[in-house]
Amino acid sequence: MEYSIANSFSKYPAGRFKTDGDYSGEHLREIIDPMLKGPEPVIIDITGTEGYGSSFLEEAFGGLVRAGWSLKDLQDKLEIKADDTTEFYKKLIWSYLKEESERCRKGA
Amino acid sequence: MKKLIDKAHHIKIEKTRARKILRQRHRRLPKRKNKRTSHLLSRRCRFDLTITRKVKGGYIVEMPTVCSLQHNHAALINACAEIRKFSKCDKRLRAINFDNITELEPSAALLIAAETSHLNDRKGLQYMRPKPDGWEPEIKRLLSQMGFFELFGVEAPDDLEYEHRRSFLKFFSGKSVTDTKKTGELRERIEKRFGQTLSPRQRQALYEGLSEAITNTQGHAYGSAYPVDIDKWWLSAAYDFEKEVLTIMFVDLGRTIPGTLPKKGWFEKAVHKIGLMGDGEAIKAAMEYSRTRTAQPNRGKGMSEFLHFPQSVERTKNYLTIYSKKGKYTEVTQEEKTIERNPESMNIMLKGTLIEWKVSL
Repeated sequence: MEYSIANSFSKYPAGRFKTDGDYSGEHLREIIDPMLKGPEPVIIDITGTEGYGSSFLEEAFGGLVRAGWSLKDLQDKLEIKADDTTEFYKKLIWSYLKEESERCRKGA
Repeated sequence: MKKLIDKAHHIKIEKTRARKILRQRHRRLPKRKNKRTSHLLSRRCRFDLTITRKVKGGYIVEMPTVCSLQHNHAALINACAEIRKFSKCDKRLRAINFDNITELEPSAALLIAAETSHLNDRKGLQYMRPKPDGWEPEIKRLLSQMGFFELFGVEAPDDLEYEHRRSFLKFFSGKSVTDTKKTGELRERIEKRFGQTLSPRQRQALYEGLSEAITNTQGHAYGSAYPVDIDKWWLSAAYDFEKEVLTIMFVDLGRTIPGTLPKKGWFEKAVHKIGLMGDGEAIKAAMEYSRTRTAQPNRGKGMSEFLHFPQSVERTKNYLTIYSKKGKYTEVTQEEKTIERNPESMNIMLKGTLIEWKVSL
């Protein structure tokens, strides 16, 4: 299952929580979460947007770990599709996932 | 050097002018006590640099000669605070006098626009009409570009000079994070009007900084924890064609960064309480990773993103300056690295936060 943030969500994603606005990280997480529960692998296409703020990415993806997903499950089921200009966002997303997983493991 | 001397000279003239006006006004005071009291309402401001004077049917706020946060911080902030006062009281502001302005910096223009726009939202500007006949032609053009005439609901004069070395963009304002699409519109306008195409990374870095600034207004400046009566942010840009410097400015009029930043540990709390930690230092502390009002380990990454845009522009030195409360914090970047950090404490408090990115393209 492929989901393009620019085409299906917003070209201008921003904010952490729903209270921040309509295209927040929390909103995106609530879209991705049920997709991950399905049988198919999930491909999130992060190309084509104006950019991403760290609080948006942290909440959308780091929030998946806080919602109960393990890093291993996410590595198995979640794929981030990026191009040359968005490759570093992909790295950032995985670093947030690892950081949050580490934090959860330590019980912080 | 010559420019600096000129600016210092301007400020000196400014002070002398303010004192002269005050002396004349005091001489003109009527002898009867009750009238004297009403005249005293047109009081001198704290630093004699901005004057609110009473006229028939209301008051006039005089803008300082040099409208610059860098060179005339106290006078400009005073003038903006005077405009803000009229949004909260029953007294009527008849006009903002721009006649004396000889120097107008982009950030100063946006700050004045934000305060005027806020006054418009609260009380309307129906009693005010700009009188541009006495304005300097260059100032008239810049204020027109910034969108001042539209703010007052009047058409811009048609005698604007278009031979120019610098240009302002009409300001954008928004209320929530959903309005971040306006940052894309700003970028498109920068590229179209100034003829400067940003690289894909520069576009992203600009968006990262601006979207975080907007998100911060929602979470901190206008957050529900301490309600404030303002909920908007303002955004604009300017370009200096001679120096090839692009300036992008963002302002909110809510709670400030030093005002919302938690102090770490008993030592920092004590140091701040006895006034040894200035507001500039507080902004610097907020720029550090993972320092946020929420104190949650996954939060507080945002403010460091303000640096991404100046870091994405490789040529020469680029600047990020943040004014908030009494603090001023400047970070100079070159070749993707920070080469200088300057926290400063000012005398006058800005009731809000202004972020300025200055990059050489």
